[in-house]
Amino acid sequence: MASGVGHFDSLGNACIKFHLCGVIHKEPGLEFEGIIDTGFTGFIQLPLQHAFSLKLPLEGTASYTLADGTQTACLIALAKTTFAGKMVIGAVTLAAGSRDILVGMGFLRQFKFGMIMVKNRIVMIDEEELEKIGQKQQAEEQAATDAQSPPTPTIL
Amino acid sequence: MADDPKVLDTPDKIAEEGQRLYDERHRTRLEQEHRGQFVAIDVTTGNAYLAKFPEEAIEEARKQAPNGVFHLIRIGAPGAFKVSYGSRHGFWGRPLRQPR
Repeated sequence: MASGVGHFDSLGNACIKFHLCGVIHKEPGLEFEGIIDTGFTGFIQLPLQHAFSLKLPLEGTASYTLADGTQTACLIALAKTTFAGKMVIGAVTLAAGSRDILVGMGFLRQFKFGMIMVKNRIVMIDEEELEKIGQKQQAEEQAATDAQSPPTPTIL
Repeated sequence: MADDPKVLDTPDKIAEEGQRLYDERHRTRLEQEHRGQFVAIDVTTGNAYLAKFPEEAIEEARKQAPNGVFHLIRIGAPGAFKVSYGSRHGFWGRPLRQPR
């Protein structure tokens, strides 16, 4: 079962560590720690300066809608991203004037992970495994219901 | 030297040109049939590359137009992405648009 583990930082932000690879490093590339932002619909948002050390190939721009409704433009790059032993290519947005690395819901979608936060732990579980657990539970509930119901009388 | 609007030398200018091309050439058709999907507009040609997800739209665009410069748009949405963790971010210093 593929899974990953995160943690909470000193400010209480839910964080995970992952690797990004541009065109210069060997896979999996350089390690980064990002804040999981469930209100961010993108993949990863990276402060612009990291694009230089990673040598990320720029593709163009994208626009963001911020929490207050304003829109801003940022550069966008595709980067090989490795987390919990899986590698995907994701659209990384590059924000100038930002110091925080954000991990968005696009990251969970592409890695096919569900996220559970319990006390001081963050656990990422493979969506297929969660699906199997759900199906197993449903089958067990059905079996229990069948066992409780009286047998259907046979009409001769 | 006069400011030539076709010199796309900042992210803001690329984004504005991409949005203009989208509005003029693609918006009506795409918003009827492909709402919620992503489109990468090549600002050098005006061509649009459509996909279900952002990385797919950019990959397809790069495959079809190796020299292109792309602006990513989510069809029917005000921006390609939403960010809630925005208060500590300066981004590019000034907003492209104010909220309506």
